Formats: sequence, structure tokens, C-alpha cells
Amino acid sequence: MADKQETLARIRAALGRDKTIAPKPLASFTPRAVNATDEELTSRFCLELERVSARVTRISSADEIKNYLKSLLPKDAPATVAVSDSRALIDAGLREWLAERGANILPTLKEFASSQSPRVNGNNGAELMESYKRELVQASIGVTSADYGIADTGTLVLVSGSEQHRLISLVPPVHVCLLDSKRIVATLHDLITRARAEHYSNRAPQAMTFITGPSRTADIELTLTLGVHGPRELHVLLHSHVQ
Amino acid sequence: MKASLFVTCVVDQMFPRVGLAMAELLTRLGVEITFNAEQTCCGQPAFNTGYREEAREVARHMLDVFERELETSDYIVAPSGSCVTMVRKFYVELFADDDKDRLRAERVAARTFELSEFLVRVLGIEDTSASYDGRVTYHDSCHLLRELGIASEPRRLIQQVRGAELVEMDRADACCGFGGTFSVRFPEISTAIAEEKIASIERSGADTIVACDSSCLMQIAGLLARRGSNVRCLHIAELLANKL
Amino acid sequence: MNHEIQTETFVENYRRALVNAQLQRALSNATAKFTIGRRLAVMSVGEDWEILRARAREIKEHAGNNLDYYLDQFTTNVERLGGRVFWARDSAEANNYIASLARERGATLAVKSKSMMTEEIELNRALARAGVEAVETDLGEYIIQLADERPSHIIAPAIHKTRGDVADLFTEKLNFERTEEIERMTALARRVLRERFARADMGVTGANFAIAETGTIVLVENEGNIRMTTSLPRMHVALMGIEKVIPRLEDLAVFLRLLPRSASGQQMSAYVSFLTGVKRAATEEGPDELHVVILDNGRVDMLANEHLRESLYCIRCGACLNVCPVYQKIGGHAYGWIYPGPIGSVLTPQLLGRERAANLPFASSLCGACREACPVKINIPDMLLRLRYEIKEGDEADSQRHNDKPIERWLFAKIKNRFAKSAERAAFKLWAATMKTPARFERAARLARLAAQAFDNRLPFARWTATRDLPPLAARSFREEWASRENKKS
Repeated sequence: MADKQETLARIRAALGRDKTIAPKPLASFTPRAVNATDEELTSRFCLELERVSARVTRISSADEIKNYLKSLLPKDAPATVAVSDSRALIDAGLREWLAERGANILPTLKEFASSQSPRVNGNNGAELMESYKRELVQASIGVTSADYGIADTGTLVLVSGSEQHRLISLVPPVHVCLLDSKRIVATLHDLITRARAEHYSNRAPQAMTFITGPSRTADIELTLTLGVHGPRELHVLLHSHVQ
Repeated sequence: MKASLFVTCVVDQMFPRVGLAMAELLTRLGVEITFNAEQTCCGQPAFNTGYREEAREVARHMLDVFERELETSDYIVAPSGSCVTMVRKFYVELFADDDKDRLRAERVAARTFELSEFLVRVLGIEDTSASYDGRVTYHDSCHLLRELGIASEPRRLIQQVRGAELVEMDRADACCGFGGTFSVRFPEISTAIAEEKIASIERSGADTIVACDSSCLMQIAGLLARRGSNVRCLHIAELLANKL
Repeated sequence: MNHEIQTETFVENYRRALVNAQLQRALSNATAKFTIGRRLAVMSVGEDWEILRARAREIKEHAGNNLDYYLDQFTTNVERLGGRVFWARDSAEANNYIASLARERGATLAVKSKSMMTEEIELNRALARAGVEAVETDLGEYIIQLADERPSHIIAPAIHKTRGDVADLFTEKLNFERTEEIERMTALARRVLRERFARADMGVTGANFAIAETGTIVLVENEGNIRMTTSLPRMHVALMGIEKVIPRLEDLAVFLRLLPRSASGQQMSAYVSFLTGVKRAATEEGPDELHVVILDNGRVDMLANEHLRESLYCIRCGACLNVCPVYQKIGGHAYGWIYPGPIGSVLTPQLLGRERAANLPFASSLCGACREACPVKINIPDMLLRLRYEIKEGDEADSQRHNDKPIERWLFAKIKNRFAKSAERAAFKLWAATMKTPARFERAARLARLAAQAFDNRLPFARWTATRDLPPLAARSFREEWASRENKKS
């Protein structure tokens, strides 16, 4: 059976050497910088996201987030809304507001755990996760924020650690995402440079997720269809420091 | 200026009129030409089929011929992007482990040119004072386009032909499906590919299809003829030698 | 259609494909759409496109030339962050590991994302033998799995199927009321697969890239099924070939600009996941267990062959398929295994054995459109030429080796096959002898002209003239014309 040393030895033989040597890294690659004002970056970001069937709205107050959400909530029945633990969402008082409107709020896994019995919480969270999954599939809207945006491609970047984003931005059919427009960078290269410095310099986050539009497929006759496994709708709310 | 003709075996045996047109054209443009009858084939059929040793034997013979020619001529000129690719690119690879022949190949490669390339890049001529009456569409042969990087030269030459109107077909750079032994090893695929080319030619509304390689033209003409089409196939040498 | 390897019946395969009208329509539609989409996406990058390609090539070369170092770095990081690494020399070792892992953990259902590597090792079959149901969750792959077929395109596995075919499948296999509406069929698949995601004990994915410096696996997709597969089940098994490792996070800034544009013409795929290690607390999302299976399966041999090493630089975008005049006509299934098109004709003979896929490297007009489209600048035509050479050399060695083998080996088919092979070699030897001697060449050419006239220009060239005309041969060759002109002059 193969093992690491045996495989690496065969690779060395294939490359014609008998010892692994640390290579001199390739010189860094710096693509042409983009000179754009913040406003230009924001416009580009919006344009690109709209091109991939997302809806982008610029907002200037926490009330506007609420008004926007109101338009998404079902009129007749109480909705289940999954809300992440991002600072911006907590500060906006979103949960309180949703609770007042009779919505059933599904919190993050951590908050969910505190409401469960020790039995559910045991076994490294296996059962906890099962219960959480069962709740999560009931949610009709997932609300998260994003850590960065990439103007060039209209991409939202969500980093685990800053908030619990993975399932909330994926499982409900509608994803609403809040982004501070000051955190929009020009290009993918800028994003990677920045994420590397801010998140990957010590221990890498378990997940960094790029989201560019709603879930899509073209697997049947190359016909574009939205919402195949992930959300069918992506709503991006752009703000600059909502109070 | 002196140039030695490398007519290629296909032109020599199947399309001598193309070789004659090239000779006439170059003479008209003031190039002193020679032809060494010791030349045979560049070796590409064997090389492309995987018989490298056989290809090397033939390549060595051709290098002998070309070297002798280059003693008195400045250039080797051929009416084929594919055979020039063989000499310019693959001879060097064939002799990668043989310093002496590789150096010979490199020297010959530096002096060997495809006809349209030779006219435009070496002679600096676009107007060959040819004339023709018709709507002409141009097919990019694969080796000429993707190995030698020649696309604008033939078009510029065609545009200068009086009475000829150049009309681009869609997907002019798509393969005609010839591919050497591929065309007889997998004739149905080869023909199916050619059918797309024929459709592009027909859509262009041209009455004449021009290319720089006789083997592509053989493939295209073969299918056009089978379809009973009236579109005429011309090698660029024939078009440029033409005077009304 | 089934799962058997059908590379040896390439000729029958492609003949069937060429007369399949539905397939022809689907192919011309799909390859045209992909090609145009790609072209527009490349145009939007402008002149930087070539800079990006050159950089991607440079990174892959650097990673390949230092693969031992970067694999060591990558796996050390994976283990440091709680993942387990399993090194597999071949498919059996990989399959056994994953199957016994499933058994040990009592897993009965695995959800899978689209992965060429799992196709290559036929993981689904191995899991089924171990009593584990493996469900494909990419919509195209799910359709293919229901139909019990192989994918026909690297990134669009079901392009050969019409909406009617899919409707039939869903009605028959899933007991749904028949609909041909694509939206509704997609919704049905979503519903069925949601339930599988919720129940699955194991998520199986490939890896688009593995970042050495961070131990991160990068997965690119549009549907969200990979995100589900890697965040819902408690176990994540990621399979990757040894060649997937790249040095640094910043390298993704290059590959993520090239891959979506080349594959589907998108500026960016809907989802890209950068996954590093396992969850770090019970109340975190993500799998408890991460198993990274690193496969050789013939790749070390590719690395050792400096003429073919660059086959390992492929990032599986499928662009070479879409621009290939041969693929456009015969589609993916004709190639007989999981890797179709130009890159398939390079990979398959190396992975399955040159003698088993001996037709594939020859099934190309060597037009070079693949090399032009490749985001990593892989020189596919030159590798096809190299493989043709290696195959002919292999035949030669083979015929010498078998000369003294027992009589049983001389089965009729083999004799016929061998005869054809050695006849071809003899023909080329004779050809070379002719071509290096001008006098013989002239004699042979004259003879050929006579023969052609005698047979009305048809019979000896039947493989040409069945579908095309052959121009009448000129009465006199160029050299004869030239000689008589020279004579007149003097």
C-alpha cells in the first residue's frame, strides 16, 4: 500500500532527484492595478451582481433593511427566518424586529445549542447538527452579512469565524446579504491579498465562501435555471455604516 | 534575390499547376528561382503517424537537398504551411538528441518560408498585380495559422487582387478535417468536419475558396465536387499568378 | 451505453455517434454556445488574458517540478488542522479506504459532488459493493446516474440528453408525473436530493485546487451541491490527484479568473469554497472528519515522462472539447471512457495503457484549436504526436516480444491485428526508402499515376473516395513539367 514517504520517493525519482528541496518561490505576480473611486467600484459591483440575476439595493438606515425584509416576508403566514450572528445584523436590531412581527427566528448553531438539552449537545454535536438541519430546512429566508465584495465579478465573500454563514446562506430559498460598501475591493487579486493578510496569516478560517449570484444550473439543454440546490434568490443590501 | 522552390510532394504529384503558378508568380516579382529535383517529401506522413525513425531518414535527405540549395539561394519557399511547419518546427524536434542534424535543421528552418509569408514578410509585397473576377473567401489552414501564426498575410494579398472581393466566411479558422492520415484513418469524422467547412463556404456567398495548402483544398474540393457545388477551389499561388 | 471501458471500439462508437441525429443537434448547439460564451468572457479580460495564461502555466510547471515539496507541505497542513490524509497508489487502494471508512462509521448513504477523480476510480461501484448508496448531486451527474451512463462532457455531463429524455427518466425512476418543463424538473431534483443531503452520513467531493501553504481545498461550482456536500454530512471525503496541489493562496487569483471563463464563459462561478480542516468546536458548521485521499493512479509515470508531463497541468475546464472539430462531431461517449476530447486522447492512453486506447491519439486532425483554448497552454497536439510515436514504438517492442510466445497466442484476431500493424510499419519503411532516393520516388510516383488511371481513380483510395471525390491526377508531375521547360530553355 502507498504511504506518504513511498509516494514522495517515487515522485522524487520521477523528477530525477533523491532529496526534497524547498524551491525558491515564484516571484509574486501583480496584475495591473485598477484605479477607481469607491463609487465606481460600488457601481461596478452592483452591475456585475445584477448581470448574474442578483438584486442589489443601496440602503442608508437600519429601517431600510427592515422595510426590504418586510417585502420578502409572506403576508399571510408567519415565516421562519434564519439570521446569522454577524455584528452588523445584531447592531441593526433585526432579530428583535422580526420577533415583533411574529416571525420564527432560527439563530446560529451556537445559539441553538444553548437552547438544547445536554444530550443533544453531546457527541461532538452530531445530534445537535441533526436537529439544527431539521429546523433550517423550514426557513424561507436566510440573512447574513458578507466580509468583502469583489467589484470586478460581483462576488460576495463570506468568511467563517466572523459569522456563521455556510448553511444560512445556502439552505433557505432566499438569501439576503448585507455588505458594507467600503469593503468592496476592485479585483480578485486585491481580495486574495487582503483576505490573506486579514484571515490567513495565522490559522486559516475553516471556510471562505465566494457567492456570485443565486444557485444556478444549465445541465438540461444548457437552459439556465436558478435555485437548483442553493437559493433561488439573492438580495444584496449595500450600506455604508448603518447606524 | 534567389529562392529555391520546395514544391512539396502533394503539389509535385497531384497539383503541379500550383507549383507552376508559384514559379510564374515569383519570376514575375523578380525572384530568381531554382528547383532541385532531388527533393521528395518533408516526412510529415511518417512523423504524424508515429514513425519517427522513418521520418528522420527522409528529413535527413531533405536537409541535404535544402543545404545544397542554400549554398546558391537565399531562401526556400513552399506553397504549404503544413510542410513548412514540418521543416521549421518538427525537424528541430526530430533531431533534438542529435546536435549535428539539429543545427542543420535550425539553419534550414531560419531560411524556409511559406509562400504568402515570403511575399509579405520577406519581399514586402502585397500587390502582386494579379487580377481575378470573383468573390473570394479564405480558409485558414491549421498549421499555417496556429503553428506559423500567419493569418493577415494571405488576406492582404487577396485584397490587392484586382477584381477579387474578399468575403470572410464564418469560422474561417476552423479545421477542414483533412489532418493527413487522419482523413483516411477516420474518413467519416474527417468528412463530417469538412461538411461544416463547406456549409461556411456556402453561407459566405463566395464563388471561390482560396487557401495556402493544397491538401486542405483537396479535402474541400473533394467534398464540394461530391455535392455538385460550383464553388471554385484555388491555391493562393494560382490566384496571385492569375491575370485576366 | 454502460460503464464498461469502450476505448477499444472507438471506430464503432464514433460511427454510431455520427448517425445519431439527436446527438448531432445537441453537440452543435452545446459546443457553439460554450465556444461563444468563452470567447466573450476572454474578450472581457482583454490583453491580460495571455498574461494570466502564461502565469497559470508557470505556476503549474513550478508546482509539478516541486511536487514532492508541495504535497508534503499541503498534507502536513491538512493534518495539522485535523484532517486525515490517505495516499493511494491506484483506484483499488482509494476505493478500499473509502469503503472501509464508510463501514467503520456505519455510513449507508453518501452524497457526491461531480468529480472526475471519482469517475476515474469508479468509486460509486465500490461503495455499492460495500453496501453504501452513493448519490450524485450535481443535476447533470444525477441525470446520468439515473440513466446508468457515463458523462459525455467534463463540465456538462448530460449535454447529450434532451429535456424529453430527462422527463422520461424522472417519470420512470422517480415516479413523478411527467413534465418537460425544465424549471419543474429542476425543482423535482432539488426536492429529491434535499432529502438525501439531510440523511447522508458522508459527503464525497473532488478538489479543483489544493493550496500547499494553507492546507486548503478549493471547490468551484454553480449549483450549491458541493457546498451542501461539504457542510451537511458529518464526514467529508475529498479525492484529488497528486497534481492538484498549487503553492499559494495568491495563485487562486490567477486560476479563478481562468477556470470559470474557460469552462462556462462565466466571469465567476456562482460558488467557490475554500475549505481548511475540520470544524473546531461542536457548535461550528462543517464536518467533524475530513479525509483527503491523494491518488497517484498513473500520475507519477506522467510526471516522469518529460514529453507528457504537462498533461498533469489540466484544470478540467473542458474548453478544448468545445473547440475541437472532432469532439464537435463525435461527442464524449465515443472516446470510450471518462475523459473525452483532445485532453482525453492524451490522458486516457496514459491512464488506461497505450495499447488499450491506441486509436485515441490518432483521432485528431492536429488542428491546434485545443492548445489555443487551453487556459494553461497545454500543448495537446505535440503530446498527441508524442503518444503516436510511443504507441508505434510499443507495437514494435510488442511484436518482437511475442515472436517466441506459445502458439495459443496466435489467435486469428491477434494475427490479423499484428499483421495490420507490421504491414503499416513495413509500408512506412518502404516509403522512407523511396523518399530518400529521388529516383525511386519518381518511379513510384509514375507507377501510382498509372495505377490510379487503371482503377478510374477510385479503388485504391476507397477510404477517401467513399465520402469525397479525388481530383483527377495530373498527367505530368511538376518535376516533369519543370524538366521539359528547362530542356526547352537550353
